[in-house]
Amino acid sequence: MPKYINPTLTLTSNATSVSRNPGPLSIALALQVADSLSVDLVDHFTISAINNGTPTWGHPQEGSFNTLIDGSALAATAEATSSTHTGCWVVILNTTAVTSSELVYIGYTDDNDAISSGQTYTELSTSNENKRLFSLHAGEFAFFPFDYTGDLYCDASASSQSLEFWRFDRA
Amino acid sequence: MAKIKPSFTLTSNKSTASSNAGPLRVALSLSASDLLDVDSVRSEIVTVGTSEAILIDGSATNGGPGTGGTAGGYIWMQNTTASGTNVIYIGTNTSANNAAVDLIGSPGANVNRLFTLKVGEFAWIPFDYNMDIIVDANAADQQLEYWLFDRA
Repeated sequence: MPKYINPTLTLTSNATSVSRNPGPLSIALALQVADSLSVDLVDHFTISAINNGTPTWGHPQEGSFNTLIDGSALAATAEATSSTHTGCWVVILNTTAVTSSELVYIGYTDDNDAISSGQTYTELSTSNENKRLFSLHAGEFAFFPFDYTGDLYCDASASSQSLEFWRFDRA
Repeated sequence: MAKIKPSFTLTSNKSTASSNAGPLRVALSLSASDLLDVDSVRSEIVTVGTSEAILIDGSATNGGPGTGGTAGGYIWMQNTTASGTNVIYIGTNTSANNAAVDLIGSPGANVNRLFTLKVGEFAWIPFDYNMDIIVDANAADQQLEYWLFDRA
């Protein structure tokens, strides 16, 4: 029997003329989208202190490692052809206290860059680093599909930055 | 300073539910919201076909790449094709390349494809302008709506 998750995203902003929390446009904005997605496996973990030294291949629950998704390790469920769409859905939240001005970085790289114990990824704190897909301030979040075509990994601009990670495998 | 407020919820029923069963033994209810400082807004509805194209040129957008958390923006993206089983592919390329690359292929053959959007599917993802965002599709005339909110 298929299993479903139901994500909903709304985005609102006020007109730019309002005094409290003005938006970027002359008109108020209200976008909303919802979907029902068929999934099977759920992978969830939190990282209380992201390794902010050299990012290292390995599961963050097993030491000072930074891999969020190892594409090749999940290749059995990866998208193999243009007509077979599996992959997964990812939710990442920077759960560091909002008083932090530091950043959590998310990198995306060729799976061959690090494939086993002791291998490392590119540091993401460098300006213009083209392995850095995005940065999350405390409280920021992302929701997106991922096709297991490479590795997703994390890094941070300082110690004691935390994140929460969810992966829902497409059924 | 201009602000936007994204809110995200993800729910699922227990796996034992008789309709729309979820993947876990327990019901799930995740939520997150934030108030983000932004300045410029860019939005477009584009037709995507089987020829890959650059959707967002990181180096040419709002001052281009720079320091994490300062340079960059937030992308709302949805496959708004009316119906069908075809898909839109979203990929990346290092900004220095400034070239679209084919996103259709096996995982081992094409690391540039980040994800796939079926009809109706959506994503909310910050983006640091350190790469280009590339679009491709497995058929002609697929429709993608995106909004890019530049970090203030």
